[in-house]
Amino acid sequence: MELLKSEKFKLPTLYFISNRSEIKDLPIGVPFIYADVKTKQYIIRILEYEILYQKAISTGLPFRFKDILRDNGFDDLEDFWYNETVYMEYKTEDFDDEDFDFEEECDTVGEDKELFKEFVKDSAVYVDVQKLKDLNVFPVWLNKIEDAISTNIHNFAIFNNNMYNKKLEGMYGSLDLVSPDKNLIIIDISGSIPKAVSSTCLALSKNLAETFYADLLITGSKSTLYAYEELYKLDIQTIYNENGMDNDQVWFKKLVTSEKKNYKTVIVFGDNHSPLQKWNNKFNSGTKEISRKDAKEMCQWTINKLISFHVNGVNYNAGYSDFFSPLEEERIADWCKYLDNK
Amino acid sequence: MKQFIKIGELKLVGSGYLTNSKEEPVTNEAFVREQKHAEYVIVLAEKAKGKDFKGKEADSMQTLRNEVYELLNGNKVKAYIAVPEKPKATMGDKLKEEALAFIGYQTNTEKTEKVNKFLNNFNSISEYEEFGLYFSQPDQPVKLNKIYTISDIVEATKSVIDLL
Repeated sequence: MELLKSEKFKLPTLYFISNRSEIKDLPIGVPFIYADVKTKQYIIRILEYEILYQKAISTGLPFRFKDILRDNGFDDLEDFWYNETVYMEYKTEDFDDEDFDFEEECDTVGEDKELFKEFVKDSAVYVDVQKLKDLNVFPVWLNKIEDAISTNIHNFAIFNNNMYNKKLEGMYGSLDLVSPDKNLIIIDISGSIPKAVSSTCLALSKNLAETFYADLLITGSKSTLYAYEELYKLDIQTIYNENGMDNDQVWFKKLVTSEKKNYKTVIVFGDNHSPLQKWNNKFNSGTKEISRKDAKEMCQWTINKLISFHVNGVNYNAGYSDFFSPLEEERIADWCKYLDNK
Repeated sequence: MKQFIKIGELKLVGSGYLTNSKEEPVTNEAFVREQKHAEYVIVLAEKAKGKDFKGKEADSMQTLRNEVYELLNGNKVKAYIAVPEKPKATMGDKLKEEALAFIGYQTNTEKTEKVNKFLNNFNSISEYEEFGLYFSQPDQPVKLNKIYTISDIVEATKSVIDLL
């Protein structure tokens, strides 16, 4: 456990925890972030961006965020490729994906490089971390530590009711504690997603999953589900190379149709690309379009609430939620800011 | 020839020549190096007093706009009866207290570790004060402005540890 510090400026009080067992040593309300030691520097970078962005916003004056970043010593900024995906009702007659080698298209930095390390430099987009904080599913950090503690204490029972009982060491008589339903976080890391989005989501993924009691599903050319209990297996530094950066139908479909699962809330980060579309890559061959109706019928996962983080706004849900039939939906707006290049 | 010198037996004579009690020039490389380092820390601490290294945070335009809006459009209701007192959130307050105490403890522990680590740069001075040190006769007499004690160095270090 250590207090996160920046060489550039003072950060809000936030403890970095890489050993899961240390979380229980923290009093309720103390802001912390749980991630791998290897990702500490990227978490600090995310915090530095957030401070600069919030300061710029608070002036109420127009600003160019890339210039602010450069003025503050971020001289390694890069603009990586992404595309604005077209929404299709899965009638792809005009789109011959046989001719479109997505893997090649997405191979922006080469397979030998650690893509995650490169992608965190992406400045094509800024992810507004405040929108994630507003979900109240992990302990927040604020400039004033007293405010952060009060907010976290208030939110604590909401995002982790079992831990609340455990922490208070209460006696509950003959009351049986029932395990709460798990949640799920889906992160689309395919090439069409701005790299700043996928790398920021990945950097924060363990923290989100840990504190939100969630499984984590990473979708690229294939989809991998990391159960909450097995989060330690997730190495985000190698995840782009392992999962590829195309889209997936085969692996995703297998996951959602082979086993019954109940999720309370599913948070999906993505764009219009969907497992309903046919994809062609080394993990997906001979796929066919699936209608939304068929997908919902064959899906074995039931979910209560869907929270969609779509990179292009709130007109649609993120594509990798297309198999689900949630009882409730929420679409988050303005979390992905496209930065001016001029 | 080496001579063992204990606390109080070192003197600065003339314009600052380091000598033994008989005013014969002596030196100990580590001791002299640490004294010069200590002088930097102590002078830095003196000069840093009253300095502001954080600066003032710019005021928020948005907050100002909100204040103006509130002032011009806010509905001020005259209070005819006393507003009820907010109940004390005992549990919440206790939890908050515990969290703040934890952060205070962590901060102090971290600072103490940092100060102690830095003060280990002055182990020869500490040894001189505690037991005494071997000094030798120098080829050239060594000059110092002052002989600083560990307690001088500790005080200065505590006040400027974040600048070191």
